[in-house]
Amino acid sequence: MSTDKFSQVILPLKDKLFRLALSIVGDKRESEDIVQDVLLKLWTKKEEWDEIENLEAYCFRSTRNLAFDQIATANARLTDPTDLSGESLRFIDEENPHSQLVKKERLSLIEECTKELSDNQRLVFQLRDIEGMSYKEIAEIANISEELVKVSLFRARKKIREMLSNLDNYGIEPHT
Amino acid sequence: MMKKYALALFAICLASPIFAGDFITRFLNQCVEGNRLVNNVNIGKTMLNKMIDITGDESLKTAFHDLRSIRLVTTENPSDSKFYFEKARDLASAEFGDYQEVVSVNEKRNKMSVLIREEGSDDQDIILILLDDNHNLTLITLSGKIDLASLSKLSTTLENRKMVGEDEKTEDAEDNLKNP
Amino acid sequence: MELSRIHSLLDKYWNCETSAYEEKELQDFFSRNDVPFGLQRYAPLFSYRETQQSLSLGNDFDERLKTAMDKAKIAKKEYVTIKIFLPLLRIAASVVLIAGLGASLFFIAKQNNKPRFAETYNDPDAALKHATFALEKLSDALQAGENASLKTLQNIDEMGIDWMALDSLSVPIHVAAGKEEIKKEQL
Repeated sequence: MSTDKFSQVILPLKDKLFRLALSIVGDKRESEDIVQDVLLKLWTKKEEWDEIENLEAYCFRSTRNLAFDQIATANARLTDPTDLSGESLRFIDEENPHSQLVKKERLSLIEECTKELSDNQRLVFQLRDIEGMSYKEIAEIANISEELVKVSLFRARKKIREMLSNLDNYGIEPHT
Repeated sequence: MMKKYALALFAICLASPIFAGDFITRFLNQCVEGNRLVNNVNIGKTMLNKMIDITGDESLKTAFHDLRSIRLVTTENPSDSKFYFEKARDLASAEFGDYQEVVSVNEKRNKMSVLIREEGSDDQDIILILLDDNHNLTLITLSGKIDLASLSKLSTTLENRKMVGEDEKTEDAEDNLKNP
Repeated sequence: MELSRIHSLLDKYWNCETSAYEEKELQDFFSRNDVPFGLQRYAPLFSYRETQQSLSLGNDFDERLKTAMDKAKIAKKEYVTIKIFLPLLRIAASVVLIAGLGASLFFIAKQNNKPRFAETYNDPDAALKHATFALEKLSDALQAGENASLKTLQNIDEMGIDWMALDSLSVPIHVAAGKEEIKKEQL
């Protein structure tokens, strides 16, 4: 019974959990480890599944918490910060070098922008824009009202929009 | 400076055949990563003999006399402690399966294993792997003639002695300063 | 796709009123080569979405997980963990039963405070501190192994567990889940 539930309900979440961890931690390897930890911990706690109302939301929350822990420890250790600019996330496309460069810079700007968001804003943006979840689902995970989800999302998108507009005004020469 | 010296000594210890199969040697070799430092202390026979003269405690004297080595690895950082605890446990089950586990605790925040191997009636090896709820990891290996019964009583004896002997020790220390 | 539709979708998007489907429409639009100049500034956002959405774990992830799960299963086989809540003492003691040792042994971990000191390699006094620390720790561990609380033993006796069945480890352990059964008022 429990193995089925695990493979049918929990395991399919793995990529989403991975992306969530990645959006917080910025390192692929660490994010993989975090998802491993979350899933393994859940697996070993089989007896308690019935007590958890929403297993999926639990997974996301667990992942988020572990990811934040990871950052906290990294900061405490005062080692070089993990590569938060997202080396691993550069987008390579086939356009001309100039626009390629522009796109690369802008991509890491999106990431830098998301770092400027509050924790809730970032979470909501990640779960809505990347994972396409409903406001209800997001509210469940983030443990906030649906209203607040919408407000946070609004602010997040607004910030990003402003950053992109500013860049365009000051940074790049217009095409002909 | 200290680190260089420590590393050199450490390298010598590793080269020594005595330590080759030792749990902590293998742990240091295989599991320790440069960005997660551990504290390591290795005490061999020579040092053990010196300590016999320094300590006033009879049970300690006997222990030092009977042992061949005491080795210690500790970490305090929560992430490192957890990381290395898993590694230590893995190493123990992978390469030290011939040891017998005599104590095991698996609480949420308190985990411990004690493993023992008997080479002969007067030759034992003990491994302790301990992760406590303050995020401290302690790895200890002892080799030599180990009497579990007296070892078990040791901490009580030392506890008693501490209550009595604190003042004596301070006086001794002051004496040593005056009369180098 | 009409430009006016795109503009209105975009406005809806900033107002957080788009459906997931409509957001996908925007994403598709911005991935084309003919995005008009005035809208190009927003292209990175939607291509970022696209890139992010396609990130996934490698194939070896499942294998790694399976290995870890199997290891956990093995570890569980060797130990039966029974959680006992001692209301009077307010501590949860995790009692570990080691199969195959013949007699049933119960261990309760103590909490230890660790002294702190610097490590040295050539100083007998410092070495003495470390050696003492090590021997004490080991000693405590062994004591933990020997000194089972009588109360706990009684407690466990009263539970009426079938040890033979447990030893063979073929009986599913419901005790761990059923905390209410274990709580003992009288101690």
